[in-house]
Amino acid sequence: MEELILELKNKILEALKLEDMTPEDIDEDAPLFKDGLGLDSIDALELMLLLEKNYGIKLKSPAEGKEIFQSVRTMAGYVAANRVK
Amino acid sequence: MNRKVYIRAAAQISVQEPLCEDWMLHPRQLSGSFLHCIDPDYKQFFSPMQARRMGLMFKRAMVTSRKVLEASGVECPDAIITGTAFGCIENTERFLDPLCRGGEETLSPTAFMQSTHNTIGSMVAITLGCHGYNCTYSQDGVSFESTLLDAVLQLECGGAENVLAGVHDEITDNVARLMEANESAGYPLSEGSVAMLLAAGDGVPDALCEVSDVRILSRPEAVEEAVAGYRAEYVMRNDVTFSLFGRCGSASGLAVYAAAEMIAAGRYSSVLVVNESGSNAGFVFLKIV
Repeated sequence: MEELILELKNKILEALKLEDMTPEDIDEDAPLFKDGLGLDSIDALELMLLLEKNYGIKLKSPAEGKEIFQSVRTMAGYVAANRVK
Repeated sequence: MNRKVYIRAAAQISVQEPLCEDWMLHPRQLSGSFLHCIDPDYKQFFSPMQARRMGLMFKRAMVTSRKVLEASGVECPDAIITGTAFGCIENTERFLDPLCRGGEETLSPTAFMQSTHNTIGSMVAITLGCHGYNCTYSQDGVSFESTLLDAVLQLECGGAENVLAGVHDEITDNVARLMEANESAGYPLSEGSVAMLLAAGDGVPDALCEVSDVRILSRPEAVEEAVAGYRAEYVMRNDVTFSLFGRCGSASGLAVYAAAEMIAAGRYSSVLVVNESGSNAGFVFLKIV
């Protein structure tokens, strides 16, 4: 799981163009939106895209992502359980 | 109601030294087939979180816009009017390339949103919190003249007291290759951003110059007659403009910026910028305040 968390952090940095941040700057248990990393609704769409492109996971709606994108750890848990590639 | 219109401040990012007028003493001699802008260090202007979704063209537009607003002491303009000949090419390619390669799946929403021509004008408005009139003109080589004409009309008619007008264009390697194959005008292809703060009134003493006339003529045969009618002290044509800034959709905007600064420096009392672009010709006549 720790390996997947690191992989996700790197993919998030790349997809959201957080160029001056490193994986260590992201707390895997902190909220991704609002108070934590400060992401917004457009980022949620980019994260949905990230899951589809890299792990073959298609979310039906952004609302579904609310639970999954709570933190990098919840994302990693969902990817580990549902990935098709 | 016909009020006089003035350029209070102007700023550029182009192939010359950006965000200053020092380059006018020793302009860079242009060479090569195409040139990118000389960009300032944008980390001075944007935090990483702010900058992450900004393409280069938006960064240039935002930095030049902020500079003219600061120079004019205007926090938020009454209107934002923007010109662009080709729009946001970088984001359009970023959106279209995966679409072609990936079979219309997994497309980036950010690149899609920011691929439209009015992205720049709307993003500047969102950033400044400007809810006023907002319009983008994409009229090939006379996009800037179309922008300026609308700005002058808004100001003359009292629709706005001040207008943030700009013209912004960028070039990518792909577009440069395509354009080079079709054109060989002797000047490098280029890109550039210009922002101007225009104001109306009976007198704006700190203005760079007055915008006396803006015209777009669609009769190439009538250009010389029109030029003679203005009786300008100096006529700035495409050959001078292109030798300073290269060939780009923003070229006439850059020429007007340079002309305004030359008038403000006392080099001329009036300048006519003539921009012959295909079957259209743009005329911007500037006078000393």
